[in-house]
Amino acid sequence: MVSSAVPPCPHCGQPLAPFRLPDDGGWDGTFQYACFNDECAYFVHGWAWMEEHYGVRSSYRYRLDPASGQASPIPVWSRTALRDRIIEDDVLAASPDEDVIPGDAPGQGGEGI
Amino acid sequence: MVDFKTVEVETDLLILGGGMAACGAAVEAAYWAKQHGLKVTLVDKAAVDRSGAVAMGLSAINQYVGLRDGQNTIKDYVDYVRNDLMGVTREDLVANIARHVDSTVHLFEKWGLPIWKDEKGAYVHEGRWQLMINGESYKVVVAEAAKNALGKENIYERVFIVGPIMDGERCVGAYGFSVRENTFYVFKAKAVIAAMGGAVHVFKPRSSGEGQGRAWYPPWNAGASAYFTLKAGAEMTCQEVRFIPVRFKDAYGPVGAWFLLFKSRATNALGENYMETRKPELENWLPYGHVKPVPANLRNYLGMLDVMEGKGPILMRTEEAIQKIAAGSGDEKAAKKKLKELESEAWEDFLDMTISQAILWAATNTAPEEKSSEIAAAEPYFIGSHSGASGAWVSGPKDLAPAEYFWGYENMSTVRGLFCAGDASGASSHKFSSGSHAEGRIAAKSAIRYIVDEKPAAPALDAVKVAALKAEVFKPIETFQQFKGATTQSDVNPNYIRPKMFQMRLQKLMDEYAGGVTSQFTTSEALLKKGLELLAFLKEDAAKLAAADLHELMRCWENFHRMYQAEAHVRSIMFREETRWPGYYFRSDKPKMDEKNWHCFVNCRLNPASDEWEMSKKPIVHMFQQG
Repeated sequence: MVSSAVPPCPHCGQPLAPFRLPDDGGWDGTFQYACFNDECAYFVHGWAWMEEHYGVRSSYRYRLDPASGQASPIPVWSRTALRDRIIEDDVLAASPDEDVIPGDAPGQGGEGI
Repeated sequence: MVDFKTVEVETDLLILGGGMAACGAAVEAAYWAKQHGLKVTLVDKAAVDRSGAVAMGLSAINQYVGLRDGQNTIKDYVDYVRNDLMGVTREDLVANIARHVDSTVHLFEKWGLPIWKDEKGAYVHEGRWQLMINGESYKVVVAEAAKNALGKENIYERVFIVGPIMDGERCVGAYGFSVRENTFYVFKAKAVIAAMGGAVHVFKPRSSGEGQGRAWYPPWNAGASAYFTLKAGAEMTCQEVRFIPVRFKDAYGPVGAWFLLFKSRATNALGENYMETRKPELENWLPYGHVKPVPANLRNYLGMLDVMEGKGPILMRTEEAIQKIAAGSGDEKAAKKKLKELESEAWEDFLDMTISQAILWAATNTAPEEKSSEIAAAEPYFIGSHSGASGAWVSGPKDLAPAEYFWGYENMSTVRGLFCAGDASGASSHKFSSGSHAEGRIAAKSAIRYIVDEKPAAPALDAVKVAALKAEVFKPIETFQQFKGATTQSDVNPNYIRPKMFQMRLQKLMDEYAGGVTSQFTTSEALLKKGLELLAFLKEDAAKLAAADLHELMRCWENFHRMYQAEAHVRSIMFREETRWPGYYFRSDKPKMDEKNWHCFVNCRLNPASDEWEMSKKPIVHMFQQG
C-alpha cells in the first residue's frame, strides 16, 4: 500500500509501507510507515554503524508517523523484523480507521523489553 | 543489650534514598546549595552505585519526549499518561516532568551513557517515548555523577531510615541505623526529600518458598517512602492504584522481546488470542477502552478473563514464533542455522535482564523452540513512577498547577519541609527511570528554594527524644535477647514474632482479602473489612517483632513499613466504590466504572495526633483539552 500523500524514503527514494504498531510502543495510532527496502543505504549501513558504535547486531529502518510528520530510526534485529506487520493494500483501504489488528501484547506498562 | 553508639548529623537538605530520583536530587541540590552555602546529605540503605529499581540495568530509557526536535509535545505525554491511568492523573505534575525529562536524558549521555543513535545523530526509538541504550551500567553512570556532585563525605551508605523526625508539623530530619555497625543515626535538616522507592512483597508473590525473593520489582523496595510520608502526617494519593505486570510465570522474565522481536503470540490453552476474542469487553470501559494504545490494565484484564473462565494457562507461543521465523529464512540448512541463532537470542534475552528465568527454563527442561512457556499477571506492586500511581500528594509548579494543587513549593508534600520524588510522589505515573531522575531534580531545586526563602529554624531535638527513638528502633533486638531462651527452636516463641513469619502473615492477608494472585485480583467491601480486622491484629503483634542481628532488624522495619503501605491500600480500595482499573484489581461488589461519582483522586492521611485514617476525594483538574 502506498499512499500518494506519503513521501518516499529520504534515503533511497523508494515508497514507504504501512506497518501495524506494536501495542507497547506508546504511539496513539494503529499504523505508521517505514522503509522496508533491504537495499536502502540507511538500513544497510546501519548494521556496521551499530556494531562499531554500540557493539550490537542491529540496524534501523526509517520510520514516519503520518499523523505528525515526525520521523525517527526504529531498531530492527533482522531483515525480517517488523515485516510481518506490513499492512496489505486492501486491508488498509477497507478499514483505514479501524484497529487493523488488536494490540497483541499484554500490559507491561512500557518498561524495558 | 548490645551498646549502640549514637551519631548525630546536621545538614541543610537531607536526601533519603539512592535510586534514580535521589541521584537526580543530589545533582541538582549540589548545584544550588553551592550558590547559597548550604550542606546536602544523602542517606541510602544500600550502596548508591547499584541501589534502586535500575540497579540491574535497563535496555531502554522509557521517557524521552523529544521536545527540541518537535517529536512530541508535553500535551502528547500528558494524554498518554492520563489515558493509561483511566483518567486519573495530576496533569500539572506529569507536564512538569515531561518538560524537564529530556534535559535529564541529555545529562545521562554527557555522563557517558551510550544512547543509540543513527549515523546522523538521531536517537533510535524503540517506541514513541523509548530510547535504546547500552544500559548494563546505567545506574553506575548516574550514581557517579551524584557522588561527584555531593562528595563522598556527604553520603551515608548502608544506613536504614526508620522514620521522620518532626518539629510540630514540620519535617526536620530522619532517624535510622547502620545495617553493618552498631550505630544509631539521627539526621537533622531544614528540609527533607523522600525518595526511597515504592513497595514490593506487600502481597504474597507468585514466587514463594524456594523462589522467595524473586520479584518483578526489586525486593528491597519495602515501603519506606510510604511509611515515612504517612508518619509525617502527609496526605497521600492514589494508594489504590497498584501495578501488575504480565511476565513469564514464576521468574518474571520479560515478555516484550517475544512480542516485538520474535513476533510471538500469547494464547490461552485453547489456542485463542484473548486480545482478539475479548476485544468487545473494551466497550465496557469507555472512553478508555477506545484509546490507543489500550491501557495496560485493560490489556491485563482481557487475559485475566480467560484465566477466570478456566481457559488457562496463558501461553507465550515461543515454539510457534521461532519455527515460523526459521522456516522463513530459506532452505533447510539456512532454517537450521536460523533456529540455532534464535534459540541463543531467546536465552540471551533472559540472561541479560532476568537470569532467574533462564535458570527456571533450565530447571524445567524448557526448550523455547519446542514448547510454549506460561505467562501470568504478577502480584501487585506499589510503584508510582511506573504504571501504578501511589505516593504522596505534592504541590505542583506555580506556573502549571491550578490553585487546588499549589501550596508554595513544587513537589512539597502537605507537610512543610518534606519533599517527594520518584515512587514517593503520587498521581504522576510513567516517569520511569529518566522521569524519576528529572523529578528528583525538580524536588531538590524546590527544596533549596524553600530553605533559602523560608529560612526554617535549625531543628531542636532533645536528648530525651533521641533516647526514645533509639529505644524504639532497637526494640526488636532487645525483645529477641530477652526471650530467646524461652524455647529451643528460636523461630517458635510465644513472646515474639520473627520478621519472616510477620511478612508471611501480611502477604497472606493481603493476598486473600485485598485481591492478590490467588483471589484473581478480586475483592469486595466485605473482604476488605475482614482484611482490616486482620491488619489490626498484625499491627498489635508488630510490637513483638524480634531480630537476632542487624540484618534481621532491617527486615523487621521493612515489614513494618510494608504494613502501613498495605493499610493505606486497603482503605483506599474500600473508599473508592467502583472498579476503574479491572486489570489491577476488581471490586466484585462495585464491578463497573463510575465516572460520575469517582472521576476523582482518592486521598488518605494518617492523622499523627489521633492515629486515625482520614479519607477524602480530590477533584481532577484537567489542564489540557480531553479527547
